[in-house]
Amino acid sequence: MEIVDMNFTVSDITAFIPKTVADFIIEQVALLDETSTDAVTANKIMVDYSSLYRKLNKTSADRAVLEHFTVLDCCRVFLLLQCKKRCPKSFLATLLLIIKYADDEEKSSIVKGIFFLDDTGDLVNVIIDLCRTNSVDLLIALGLNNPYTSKFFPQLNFNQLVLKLLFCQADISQVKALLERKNSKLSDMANDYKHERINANRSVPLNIELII
Amino acid sequence: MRYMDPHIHMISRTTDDYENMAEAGIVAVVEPAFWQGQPRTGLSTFIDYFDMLVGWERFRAKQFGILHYCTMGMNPKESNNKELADEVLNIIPRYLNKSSVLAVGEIGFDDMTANEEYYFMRQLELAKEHGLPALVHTPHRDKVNGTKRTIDLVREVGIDEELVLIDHLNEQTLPLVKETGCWCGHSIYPDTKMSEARMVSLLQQYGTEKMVVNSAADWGKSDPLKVPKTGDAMLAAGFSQQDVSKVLFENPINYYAQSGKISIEDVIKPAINQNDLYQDNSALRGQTPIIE
Repeated sequence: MEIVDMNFTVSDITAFIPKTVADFIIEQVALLDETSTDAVTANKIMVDYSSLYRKLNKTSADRAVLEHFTVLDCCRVFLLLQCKKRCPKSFLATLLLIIKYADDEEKSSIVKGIFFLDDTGDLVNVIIDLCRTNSVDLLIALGLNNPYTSKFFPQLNFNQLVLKLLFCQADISQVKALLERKNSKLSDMANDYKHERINANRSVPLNIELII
Repeated sequence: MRYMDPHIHMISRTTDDYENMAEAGIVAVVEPAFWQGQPRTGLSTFIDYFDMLVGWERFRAKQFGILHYCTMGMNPKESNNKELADEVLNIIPRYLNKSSVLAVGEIGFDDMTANEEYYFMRQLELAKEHGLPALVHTPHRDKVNGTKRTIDLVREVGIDEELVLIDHLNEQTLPLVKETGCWCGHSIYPDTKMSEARMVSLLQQYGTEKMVVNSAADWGKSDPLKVPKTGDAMLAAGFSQQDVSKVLFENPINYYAQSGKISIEDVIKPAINQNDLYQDNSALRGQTPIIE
């Protein structure tokens, strides 16, 4: 299999964070008490995390700067990375709560950066659960240009995610390592889906042939 | 013409929908317990939801001249949180003997995980133990395999196939269910699932026996009038009034009648009295109450 990785580094992300926001993040993370419970830390980080968009103007916040990463995504992932650095032992437990507290739009940023935040796949079952969303934006964040799902998802969950992407008309050619992870079950499912669409006189999803 | 919509999530719909449905001839609805669009985080939200299905929503429907029944179950999407799923499974039996609960459902597969299969089987067993029908959802993705596996599980559990309705069928999956003793459900949607014209073609090809049609309307883009609209499409295609009544009224009632809690004679439009209250609450918002 090809080396599944992000196409950019944490340093690249940092370069897009306005100095005032970076200073705010560093200042807030310095206030964290390493002896606090996960819940207390997660509550504090969630407040800061949700406040970041207010520190950017809307135009710059939503500007895509690194593939699918916007400036706001960069700021949010940077905050979580700083938290990881400050409280490494409790970080995954904290992140688990933050995922629980975040709304779908906030979850999308976490998911885009999850490969940096959990590079060993410890939270894979939590990320699989997020795939049960009805939010197209969150599904796209999970499935496109995301090495985490391609690297850590078991076959069943990977296949389901790819099918969901087809259902929401996403371009599956942007799924990392798609051809390496292609399998006969996925091919059969896609073929059935293609014929279901044809039976209903509907268009066949873009790039579905890549997995058939 | 009288109609029943045997699968619709009215809790997500407005009173305008109820009025339009009654106007179009819908006399009764069955509301399967369902996924709320995002994960529930604790048992108490399931209890409140289930209580609403046998309480407030039933009252609200009657306020607009429609009989409301429901089915109780845990949706496959909710089966993947094992700890919570066990708690939910424990409380479902206390609802199953209530007079308005006609079946276990909707149950089945979503992602087709091991957890989904386990809770699907457990709920089929509950239906078998309680002598109730089981309303089974087939998945959006991998539908053919999901339907095949559903039929396998029905046989493994040993529930009478007559008690099982396999829903959301299409041209690929209906032939699989037709080879069993199960009932065949079809959900007519504006864009996805099945259209009125395709449904008419299926009825022409496979006949009207054990064929059931619903709107499956919910909080997404859907149409609570799809059952009467399918009736119109059937008549336009040359089906008789008796055929329409069989598929869109008698079949679903006869399927749910296996619960012993409903019969064709029971399903008549209830008289409206909008002065009625439910736990001291009214669904009125300033309009003159209708009293029939």
